[in-house]
Parts: sequence; structure tokens; C-alpha cells
Amino acid sequence: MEVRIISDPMKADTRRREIKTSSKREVTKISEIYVCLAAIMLIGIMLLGGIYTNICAKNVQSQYRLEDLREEKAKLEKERLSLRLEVNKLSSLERIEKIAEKELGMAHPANRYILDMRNHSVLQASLTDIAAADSGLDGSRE
Amino acid sequence: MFRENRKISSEETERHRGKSANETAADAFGWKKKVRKRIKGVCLFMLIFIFVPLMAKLAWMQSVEHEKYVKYAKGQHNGNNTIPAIRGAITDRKYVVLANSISLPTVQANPSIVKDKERASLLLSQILECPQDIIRAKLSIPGTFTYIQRKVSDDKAEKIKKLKDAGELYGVDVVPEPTGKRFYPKGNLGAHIIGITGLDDQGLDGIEAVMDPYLAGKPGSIRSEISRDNVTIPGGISAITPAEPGKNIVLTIDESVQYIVENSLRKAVKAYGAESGSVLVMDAKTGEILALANMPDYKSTDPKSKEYMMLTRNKCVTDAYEPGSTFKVVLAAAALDSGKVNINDQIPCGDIVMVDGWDLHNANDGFGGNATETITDIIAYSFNTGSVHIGLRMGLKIYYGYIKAFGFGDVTGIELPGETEGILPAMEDIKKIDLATMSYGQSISVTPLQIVSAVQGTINNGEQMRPTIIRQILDQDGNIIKDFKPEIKSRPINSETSFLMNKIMRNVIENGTGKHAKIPGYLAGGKSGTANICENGVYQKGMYNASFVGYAPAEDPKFVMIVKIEKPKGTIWGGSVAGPIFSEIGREILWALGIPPSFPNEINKMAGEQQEKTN
Repeated sequence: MEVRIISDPMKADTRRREIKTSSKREVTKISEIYVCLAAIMLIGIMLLGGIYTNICAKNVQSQYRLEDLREEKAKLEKERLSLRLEVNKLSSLERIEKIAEKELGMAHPANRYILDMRNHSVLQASLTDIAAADSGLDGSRE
Repeated sequence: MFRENRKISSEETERHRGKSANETAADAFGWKKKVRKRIKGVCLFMLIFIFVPLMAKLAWMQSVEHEKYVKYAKGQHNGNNTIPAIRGAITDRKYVVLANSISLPTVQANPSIVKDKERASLLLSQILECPQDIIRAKLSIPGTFTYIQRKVSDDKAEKIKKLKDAGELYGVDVVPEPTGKRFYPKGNLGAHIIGITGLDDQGLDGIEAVMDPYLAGKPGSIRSEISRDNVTIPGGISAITPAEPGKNIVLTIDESVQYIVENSLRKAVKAYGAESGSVLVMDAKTGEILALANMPDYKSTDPKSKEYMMLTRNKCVTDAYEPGSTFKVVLAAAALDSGKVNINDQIPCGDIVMVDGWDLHNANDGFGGNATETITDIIAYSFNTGSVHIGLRMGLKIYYGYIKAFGFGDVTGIELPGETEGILPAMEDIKKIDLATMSYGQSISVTPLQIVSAVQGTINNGEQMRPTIIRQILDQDGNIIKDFKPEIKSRPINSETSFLMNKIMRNVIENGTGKHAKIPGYLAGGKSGTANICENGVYQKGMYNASFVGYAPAEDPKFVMIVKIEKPKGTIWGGSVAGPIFSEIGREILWALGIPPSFPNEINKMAGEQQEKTN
């Protein structure tokens, strides 16, 4: 290591000041870098924090949505059952009979007549016609 | 300053007492030492007796009782929300719903935190349509929990929730119930079959009780963190146990047939001024119950009333009665099948027969007999004396064997609660007179179901099917879990005997006591019965069971039906009371099932005659 002895006190003082200034400059430079790094990190952390918060918020939001949907599903299922019950109530034979008799003025038939289709010639003929028409339709489809 | 003055004055005092300053300083030091010592003592005392136990307790809580307090803590911030399990539905054979459940919320309260009980009770009484006094009383009980009203409608629950959100009704909650509320969309239809459920939706009677293990679901739960207002915190769900809904039960009954039966029976019980009536319709081929009704029914009766318990009895399976002449079907089948009597045999049939010193005679129903009759006529005109001769000719051992083979004295195994096996005395206890009376259906008690089942076996080529009322068990998606196939229970008679019995029973309706049971346009068979009612061991004068058991169409039977009218007023004969009901119900059932008549001209002729009369 080379050691230079400066005999002039003025020079020595200037030199000391220079060294001091340059070291000060270096320190400032380094600290600026650190500040920059810190700022970048801070921004990064803030960004990450923001993203994380956003994800969390969305997660909570979707959880709320899920809860709502679950409730909605239960509600709809209940509604389905209620409607099924209502349909069954409305289609009860007792109710239908009551409406038929009281509102529509219908009555149970006192006399019932039977038309025996097996021995009815006119009906037999029309049934044959229908059967023939049906087979014709089938043929045209082919 | 004050201290200095005190010091000076004490020094002066000491000086006055003749002590030196050094001595005084030494005394003061000693006093301080004492005070320090005392403070130390107090601290030590506190440390030993207060802090050490506290620390020990803390250590105990943290180590030994750790789980317990964790549980407490979780209990405070974790909540269990119930997922209601819906009870399965009950449907008829065409999947028409007869009973189903819907989950409804319950209103409950913590009376200790309800602030303005007067206002709360007023608001709740208005919404729940319940007297304010009752709600006030509920809110006034000491404690932290009370039900205000269980299973309220959604509209009412919503109104209460709105009031709660507006800051009213603090301490009142609307919560889901673990079970639903049962609804019967067809009202009273099939009441004795379906039964009832309790407040917790548990089966208490009928199919509801018997099939409860299948019908009842298992409530689930959501374990999650909850807020102060008992609201689930999203994302805080820790465990979900899904609810298991109950299974659906498909019955063998047909809604239309059941409706026809109930309507006709209700009218008949009223018309005859009878105490009660029962009708049971069974599929002649499979043994499936198509309809079962008892009148009066009970669903419209107050459950707290005295007659309620009596009306809940499903008399078709729970009440045994002396069947009277309907039991002659079993006698004739046994006699013909055993070969002890041939179809053309002439059997003594006088007005009176004496057995063991007892005079047994024919019923005074207007049908006079000859000295001898064939088995066909004995059954057609229901001669008791002829039946006694047939019974005695067969002997106890053979007759008893057939009675057992037809299933009397045993339960049929139908899936309905409270079925009785009837009363069939042990063979060794039966004397000659008992055998004689059993030949025409006395000294033995049976249920209407047993009689129907025996007739079904008689006309179904001798194959007696196991009576059943359940067809299928389905899951909530409609998949079949269990299918109840018709199963042959026994073969008490052979097919030749069955053929002969069909002829004999047809003759009852064509020429005998069952003329009133004729179904116009159709061939039907059957047997009437009139039995004196025995109460407290004594036959009651003027009290009879009038019954008719029959089937149609006779060429290819579709159903077997029993009509039993208890204590009719006026006419008492089975053929005259139960016969017309059989005819009416039978005709409607055949029309509802779409069975074409064998003799349509007969219907047209009847209709024409009636038309003429009207004109």
C-alpha cells in the first residue's frame, strides 16, 4: 500500500475536504439506490397487497353470491313443492265434482246407455275407413 | 414542610423524653424495616393465595380443560344452521300425491332479552293471528328460549323478518325447522290408510307410522362462523352435512276408486242411520288393496274429543266381528274341496236342527227352504240348518284345517298398523255346538280384510295372494328402491273347487239373497251376511252387522269387495243393506276402470225403463 505524506497543511486540508465530499457523495448515491429500492419494494408490496385485497374481495363477493344462490335454490325447491301441492289440491276429485255440479250445473248421469261398438255396423264401417286412412298415411310416409 | 415539622416535633418529643438523636434514627429505621416486612408479607400473601391459584386455574384451563373452552368459544362464534329434511310423499298407484311435506320456518324468542314485551306480543299476535295473551305469556316465561309458533307460513315469517330488520322485535328469531309440515292435498281421502303425523312430522298412524323409517328424512346442517346477528359469514363455512330427504311411498290404492268408495259409503251410513261402515276393495288377481274406507272418518274431528280415538281405528284391519253368513263361502269351499260334499248332493235343510240340546234355525229372511237342498241353494238362500249339516258332515278337523288354510286366526301381514288376527278358538276347545255355529259364521271373529282375502283366494283359481297396500318405494328422483311384487300366500283350494265356488256365488246374486247386489250389465258373484252383534258376552237384541262380500266381473274378476254396515236402523239384512251399496260401488268402479259390460243391452233396457218412468 502506498502512503503519501503531504507536507503542505493547506493541501492536506483540501485533500481531506475532497475525500470527505466524495465519500459524502458516495453515501448519498448509495442511499439514493436504497431509497429507490425501498420505494420499488413498497410499490411492489402495495401492488401485491392491492391484488391480494382485490382477490379477497372477489372471493368474499363470490361467497356472498354462493350464499344467495344457495338460498335461492332452497326457495325455488320449496316453491316447486308448494306448486306441486297446489296442483294436487286443485285436481282433487272432490273439488272437480263440486265445481261441475255447482258452477257448471252438471249432474251424474241417471241413465247410462251403452253403444256396443263390436256389433255396430255403421261404426264398424267408419272404423274400417279410419284404419284404411291410417294405412294410407303410413304408405305415403314410406 | 408538614413532614419536617412533624419530624422536628417528634425529635423534640424524643429529646423531651430524654433520648438522643442517634437512638431516634435507629428507631425510625427499625419501623421502616417493619413496614417493608409487612408489605412483603402482604405481597407474598397475595402471590400465594390470589395469583398462584389464578395462575394454576389458568394453567388448568389451558391444558386440562383446553378442549372444553375451545368448544365453548367455537359455540359462540360458530353456528349450526339446520338443513331441513323433507319427509317423503305418499302417492296412489298412479303417482297422485296424497300426502307431502314442505319445510316451514318457526318463530322463537329469547324472553330474557325481549325489551318491550307488550309491543312485541301485539305485533306478533297481529302477524301470527294468535291471541295476544298467549304470546305475552310465552314472552313472560323465565329463561332464554321459547317457541312462539312453530311451522308458520313463509308470508308471516317474512313479515316478522322485516320488522326485525327495522329494529323491532329484538330477541325474536325466525329459524328453519329440521322437519317440514305435512299437507294432505286430497283432504280426508284415504284418511285411515295414510294416517297422521305429529308436530315434528313423525308418523303416528297408518302408513305414516308403518313406513316412518322410509318416509322420515335425516336433517342436515351447515356449520359456519356467524355474526352477532346470527348471519352466516361468507367463507366461514367449516362443514356441510347434507340433508337426506325421505323416500316416497307408492300405495296400491287408486284415487278414483277410493273416492267412489268413500262417497258411497258416507251416503249409505247416513241413509241407514248406521253407527259405522267399512268398505274394502282388493284387486282379485294380485291381492293389492284398491280402496279402503271407514266411516265416519276422523280427520275432520277434533283430536282432543272423546270419539277421536275410536274414529282413528281402521276397522277393516283392527276390529274383529262375527262374519255371519259371509263365512259360508269358506264352509262351501272346504266342503267341496275336501270331497265331503258334491255339488249335486241333497243336504237336509229343515227349519230347525238340534245340536247338543240347542235349537239352531234358519234366519227369518223370507226365504223358505225344502227338506233337502243342494249346496248351491244352501249358499244362495243362506240356510243355516243346511250349513250346520255340511259342517257336521265335514267334521271339525277338516273344517278347522281349511279355516286355518284360508288364513283365519292369523294376521294377513298387510302394511297397516294394529292388525288383529281375529278370534279363532283352539281346536281342542271347540265343541260340537261351536262347530255347528261356526258353519254359519258365528263363534268365530274375523276382520273384513280376512274375509276379502279368503274370497279372493276362492275365486282366483285357489291362489290366495298376500294382501298388500304398498306398491313401491321410490327415492326423490323417482328411482325404484323397492318393488312389492304380488306374492302367493297359500293355495287353500284347487282350481276345480274355485270354478264351482264361482258358480255358487254367482247364483247368490242371480237368484239368492244377493239380488240387490246385482251390477246391471255385469256378471258378479258374492255372499251376504247378517250377524247378531255380541257385546260383553251377550248377543244384543236388534244390533246387527249387515255385510256383503262379492266380486265382479264373474268371468274375469277384477276386484273383490266387502261392504260392512254396523248397526243399521230399519232393515238389517246384509243382502238388503250392504248389497245395494256393493252394486253401486261395483258399477262405478267397473266404469272407472274401463271394464266393458258383458250385457250392455241390460243397461240400455234399464235406462229406457227409467226414462219412461221419468217421462
